[in-house]
Amino acid sequence: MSFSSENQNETGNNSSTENNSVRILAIESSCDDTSASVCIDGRIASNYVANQKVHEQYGGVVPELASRAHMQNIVPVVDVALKQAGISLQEIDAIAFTQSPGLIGSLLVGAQFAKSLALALSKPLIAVHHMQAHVLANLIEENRPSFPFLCLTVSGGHTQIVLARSPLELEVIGETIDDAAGEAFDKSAKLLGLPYPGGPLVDKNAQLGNPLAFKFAEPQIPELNFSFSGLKTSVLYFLQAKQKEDEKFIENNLNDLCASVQHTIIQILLKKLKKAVAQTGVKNVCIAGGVSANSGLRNALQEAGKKYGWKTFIPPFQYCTDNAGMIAITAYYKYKAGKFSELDVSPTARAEWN
Amino acid sequence: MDIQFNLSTIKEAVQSLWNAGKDTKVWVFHGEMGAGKTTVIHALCEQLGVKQAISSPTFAIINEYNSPIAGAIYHMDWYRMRDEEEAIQAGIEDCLLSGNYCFVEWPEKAENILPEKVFNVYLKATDHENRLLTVNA
Repeated sequence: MSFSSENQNETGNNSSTENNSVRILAIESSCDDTSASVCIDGRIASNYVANQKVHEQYGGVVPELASRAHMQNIVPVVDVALKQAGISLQEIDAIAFTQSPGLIGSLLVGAQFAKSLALALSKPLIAVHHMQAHVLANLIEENRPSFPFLCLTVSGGHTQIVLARSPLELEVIGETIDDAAGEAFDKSAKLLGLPYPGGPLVDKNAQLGNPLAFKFAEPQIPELNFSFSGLKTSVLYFLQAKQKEDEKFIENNLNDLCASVQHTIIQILLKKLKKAVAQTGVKNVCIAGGVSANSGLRNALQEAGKKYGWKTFIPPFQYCTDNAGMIAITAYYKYKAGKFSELDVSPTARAEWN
Repeated sequence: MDIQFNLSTIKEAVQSLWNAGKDTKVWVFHGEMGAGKTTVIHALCEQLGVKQAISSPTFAIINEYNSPIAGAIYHMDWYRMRDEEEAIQAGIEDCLLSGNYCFVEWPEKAENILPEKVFNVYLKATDHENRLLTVNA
């Protein structure tokens, strides 16, 4: 509890948080899930997520459906999060929301709601960067990394290695120059004829296959950056060639194909993570983001930890996928640092860090 | 104009492409999955001095970059759009009408919201490494 105890004002100086706990309501609506969370003194008291099942039948998130569903979900979701935390709206000290990046229509719903609430309650507003929040999700549990730490954030839209020196000193030291890791999973799954969302299905089939059965091209990208588009092309040509010989090639080799694709993606990720550890000398290594639910990646990280003497951390699943809990914990550190936003702040699809 | 290129000559290829197309704001990139659309746009934006991370917008639909040469650039991927209505709702029309450069992957998904004047770029894989880029400016 080293972080939250810093805040205890033992000398009794006048401080805005004196004798008071910090209670934050956070809203996350950057993509297809509507989520709200309450954080009390750095502890997540509730983290409620409404999933939009509607997208599965369309093979992906449909932006217009997503923002419409956010509008329907947001009030009940906030209500549940407050009730689960056992707290009323009036007891909240600040309202946080995801400002960027994401689908603009989806972000607008959460931002507008948060601003209106802040205005109505006369409470400060905290804008949170979704990718920073993924990294800080590692601070939610008791078993958390000490600073500095490295975090590999992998999701459908992002792949980054972040060096965290403190909760608010985060630096992207590597990222994808084309497709994200999650996109590589989904697009490979599509080439293999698997339904959406393909990533979890690849993982499931991979567990029954041989990861070394087939070899695909590995990118040669300088520094700590990633590239996954070459892998996609490599899989595509490989399948085209094999299907000329055997129409049922995919069907007959699905498990081995999934295992080999998954193995290649994980090796690409781990290779850069190893390089990042070597460059920075930082041996606290975390993963975050939706793809950190992948069992192959989890195992590979833990094995690498044993092999190279890293301390590894993976947040519980509910804090890996898009969730307001991670927005709330980030907002908690921003609150303590006095980093508030004005009401004219607007959401943006731009991904860069401020 | 036809340009043959691979990863080692892509810089020269996108420079020629920029010279050919810079008078048109909306560029549409045609080509199959794996033809190199994202890779070409990445190299082009880099050539235009974009400092932000340039990556596939398949997930986000619209990525926004800033170039000291071209100003604001919208990098879009319409792969997941079902029709024009949905593209409009996703904020795509606002980008197209903004007067800024728009680089569009998978324009076929909502062709009817494209302005009359677009710069068409066709990409084709000739083998595993080499790509053919065709423009009819």
